[in-house]
Amino acid sequence: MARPSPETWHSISHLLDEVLDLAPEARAGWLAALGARDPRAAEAIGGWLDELQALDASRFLADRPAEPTATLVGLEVGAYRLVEPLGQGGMGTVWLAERKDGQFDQRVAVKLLNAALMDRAGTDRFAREAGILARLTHPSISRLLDAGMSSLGAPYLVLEYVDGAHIDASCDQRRLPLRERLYLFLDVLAPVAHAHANLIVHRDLKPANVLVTADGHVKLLDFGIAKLLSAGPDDVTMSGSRDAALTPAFAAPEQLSGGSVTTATDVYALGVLLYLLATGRHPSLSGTVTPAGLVEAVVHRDPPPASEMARRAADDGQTSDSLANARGTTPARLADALAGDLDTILARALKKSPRERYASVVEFAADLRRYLRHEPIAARPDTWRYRAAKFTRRNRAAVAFGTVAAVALTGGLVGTLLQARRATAQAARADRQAAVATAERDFARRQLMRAESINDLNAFLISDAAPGGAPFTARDLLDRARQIVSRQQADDTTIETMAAIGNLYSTVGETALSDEVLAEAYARSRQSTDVAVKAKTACEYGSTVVRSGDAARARALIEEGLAALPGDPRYLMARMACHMSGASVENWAGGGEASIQHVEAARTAAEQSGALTPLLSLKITMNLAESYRIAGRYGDADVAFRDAEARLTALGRADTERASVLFNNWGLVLGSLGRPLDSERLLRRSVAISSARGDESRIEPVSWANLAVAAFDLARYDEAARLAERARAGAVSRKDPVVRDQALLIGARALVAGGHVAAGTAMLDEVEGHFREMFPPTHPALVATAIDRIRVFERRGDLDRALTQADTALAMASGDTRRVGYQRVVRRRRAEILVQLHRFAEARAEAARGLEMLASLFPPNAVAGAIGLMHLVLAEADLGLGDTAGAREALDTALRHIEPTMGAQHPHAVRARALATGLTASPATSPSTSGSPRR
Amino acid sequence: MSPATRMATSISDLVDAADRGEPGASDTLFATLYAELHRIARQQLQRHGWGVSLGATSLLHEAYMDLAKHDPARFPDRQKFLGYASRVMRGLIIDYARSRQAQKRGGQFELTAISTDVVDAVPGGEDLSALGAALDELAAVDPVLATIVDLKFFCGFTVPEIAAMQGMSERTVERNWQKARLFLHRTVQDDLLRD
Repeated sequence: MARPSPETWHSISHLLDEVLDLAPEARAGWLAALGARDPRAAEAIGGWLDELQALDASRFLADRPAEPTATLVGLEVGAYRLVEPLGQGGMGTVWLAERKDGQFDQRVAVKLLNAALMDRAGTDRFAREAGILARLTHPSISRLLDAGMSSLGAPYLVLEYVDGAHIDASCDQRRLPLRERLYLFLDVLAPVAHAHANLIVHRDLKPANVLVTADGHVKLLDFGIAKLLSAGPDDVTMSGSRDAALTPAFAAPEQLSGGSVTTATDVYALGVLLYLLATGRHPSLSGTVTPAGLVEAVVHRDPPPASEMARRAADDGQTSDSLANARGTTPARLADALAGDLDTILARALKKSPRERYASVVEFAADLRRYLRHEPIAARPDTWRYRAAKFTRRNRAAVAFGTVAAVALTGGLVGTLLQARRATAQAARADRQAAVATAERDFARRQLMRAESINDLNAFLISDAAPGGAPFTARDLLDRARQIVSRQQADDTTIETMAAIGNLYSTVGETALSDEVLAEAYARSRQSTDVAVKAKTACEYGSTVVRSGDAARARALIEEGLAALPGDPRYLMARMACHMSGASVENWAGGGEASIQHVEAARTAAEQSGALTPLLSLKITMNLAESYRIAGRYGDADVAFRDAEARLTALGRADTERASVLFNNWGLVLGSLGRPLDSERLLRRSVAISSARGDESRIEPVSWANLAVAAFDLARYDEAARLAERARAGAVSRKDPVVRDQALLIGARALVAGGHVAAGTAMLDEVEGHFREMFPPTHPALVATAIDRIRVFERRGDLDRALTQADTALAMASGDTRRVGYQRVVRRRRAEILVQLHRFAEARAEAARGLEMLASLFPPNAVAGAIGLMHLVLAEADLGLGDTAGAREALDTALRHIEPTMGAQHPHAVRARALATGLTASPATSPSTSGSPRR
Repeated sequence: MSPATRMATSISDLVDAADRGEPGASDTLFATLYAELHRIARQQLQRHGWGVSLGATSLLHEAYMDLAKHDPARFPDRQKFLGYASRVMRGLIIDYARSRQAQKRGGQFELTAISTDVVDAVPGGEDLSALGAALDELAAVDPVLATIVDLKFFCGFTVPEIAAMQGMSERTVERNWQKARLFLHRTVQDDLLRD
């Protein structure tokens, strides 16, 4: 039939509409009615309707045309051009490719990855990790040749192309006997061990990734690639990660249950592989298994011994025969061969807990070799339990790596005893603060800076040393890590790893080693082309150099690091790290505004980077508070500590070691602000956190010393002496001379004030002897002992000598604005002696000068015990001079400052009230010169 | 400006221009959409692998979403856009069928076939070419019917989807589809007889 003309179509179109709207059975009636009016039209429509039936029968336009399948053949990816697809998997597609310039006849495998929507952070991380993997070279590992983003915006990897068969298929095809299979398997372990030594974990070992070439060589594919593909920021890869590109059948329990992926994960996968090669069966896949069932089996059920699996196979006829046949044996003989040592070796590798597996691939291989040489193997059923128990008994002091940070923070519980003795503690404090800063820096870096190599280092340290259950210390681990790293080529990864090791050495107190390793990292970093690596290493080195006393060089290194960093936002986190190092340098060098400026710059950088997490914010706030404290800006420090506490509580960390440090340092600030009651409350909180598990040995000696200071300020002299003794004993057993001397100083003070003058003096002589050995005669530590000697003479009733001693102390404390804190103490002590000598006018003048100094030290509206005490001595001078009005006013002020900060029952409060009452009762009362409690 | 934004803006502009009947605008719009669909197809391909059919519907959706995302203020309404885009898809599929036939004859084309077992069940390249020509005639006579064929046959939208898109009842879509088949069949048959 001819095609309808437009006119014809339009003339019949409405009729077609009508009839097609009808149900098929109603159409005949409709046609008949139409035929009655217009036979030609009815005939035409009838024809169309018949044709429609024919079209249905012939399925005209019933099936849709093939949709285009574009191909990526010919797509240019980096220096390569795709030739043909090789395979497809969860992670993407794999292509055979060739060089597009045709210069080399090199065939490569190109992996096009699914992660099409990779954000900038993901892209950076991808590039960084790919860079790490690209440096992994081993004849049995397929090399990562290139990586990048394709023109279509998806990441790709270019890998050495390997023409080979999956190892299980290859073994079966060649009918390799069990022993031959074990030898071949050893060839698999060697490259894995090499990768682990380079801190790279495969994460997805399975037959498809272990190829055997035609000439029988083993080649491992996709080393570390699974991690590249795991979604999300790297901080989840340490724990709680689920690998996106995971192959469940070969996944370790920790991969399925969200645990940490470590080298032990590869040990497990290798165990599965060996089990498969030995028995032909998967250890957890017996019978038909749902994905959920598989996960359940892998995570919870111990696999049957390999021999039992072979025997079980023996019961199912055909299959078992073919499995055994592929091994050149019979099912029963295979089961016999597996029973015993091989069962034990496999069971050890397949332990559910990573800690119970072979501690390393090297140990796994060693045991297999022993078996092959018919020597006794090391693995024994449940050996680990015995060893672990023995370990716990034998070496309680051995430190798990994971607790190093906590130890370092606890070790950081160092604060000055009083402003007056601040400098005494400087050396140790700076060491420890640097340690804290380092631990925090590392932590920040782990969390935020995506320093993969360091994550790998930690993973390595934790996994490779921990599972065996052998005793180890953090120091052992670091020595081991250092050895590994020093053997590696100098590149950015090893530099960063080395710097991390250097920092960790300092957290475990090995400052000399820390210096040495950081110096080497710094030297190596000069060759680096990565400015961030250069800068950070310089800054980290600077924070170490300052400890050897060369503040100028340390500052130069910080400046060098900061100057090297471009303004690009990508370097903001490196800038932040550098400023944190800078703050630590300045704090060591004595603190001050420069330190505060560094912390503030660090905060600005972190804010601009958009990576200012609550945790990082807390750390910066704590550092800022510390810098204020060290700079003597106690009011600002108080505010900053309060802010830090709020953040800490919001993060649910108010009972952590970090909180303990915060409360300790904040307590010191409040002590310096003349609020001993508040100070003691915070110091007790700090101690309570440290001993939360009922273990008082966890309390740092310096915490006892700090509590002793608070007790002394609250006139509880005997208690202060006992606390000081506790601090001293702890410091001696820990070989910590600085805290020991702090403890001796406060102990001596408490003894003298408590009336044990002889014992106190002996102690003072001892500590002064230490100071004279360590410090020059003008050192602030000796100002502190000079001040304490005033009280010795005073208690002996030799007021003239006491005054001479006060003059000496004042001379020592003068001339240095940073010793203004000492001066005000000396001036008060001097005024108190002068009152006792009835030299009231001089006493009043001295107290007035003391008040001026206090005004410069404290915020305008501060309520401080120190101010109250100064007003108290002023009142006594006024009384001596007959100025009752002045005395009354001074006493009011004294009580306003003393009662809230030191308590209404404090002897000074009691005395001030007594004097005030005396004034009211008898305005003419002469001044008291009797021995009331005095300091 | 990112390439995607530029692309979207130009598509919006072109739809407007084509609506106003500006000379050449329609051709340019089709060419641009054609390239855009190719781009999205490649992206999908890369995401899903080399053995997966592109899915015309999802391609069009994606193209539309791209447009909507990058130029929310100006992107054309859905009906209008799909009207143009489905015609482009028709061209794409017909080109593809031609190239596949050419390849069977040993030609070198960038587009290659999916597995051949489904190929014989669907209209081949020459049939589709004739159908394309018939559709052009239908579009001149009754453009609404032609669009329904593009959407249903070439793009794979279902009747309810088309009804929603075109603002018709499902019954109307179904009726129009039957009418279109009739028109196309007669036209194709007529062409065959004339050759």
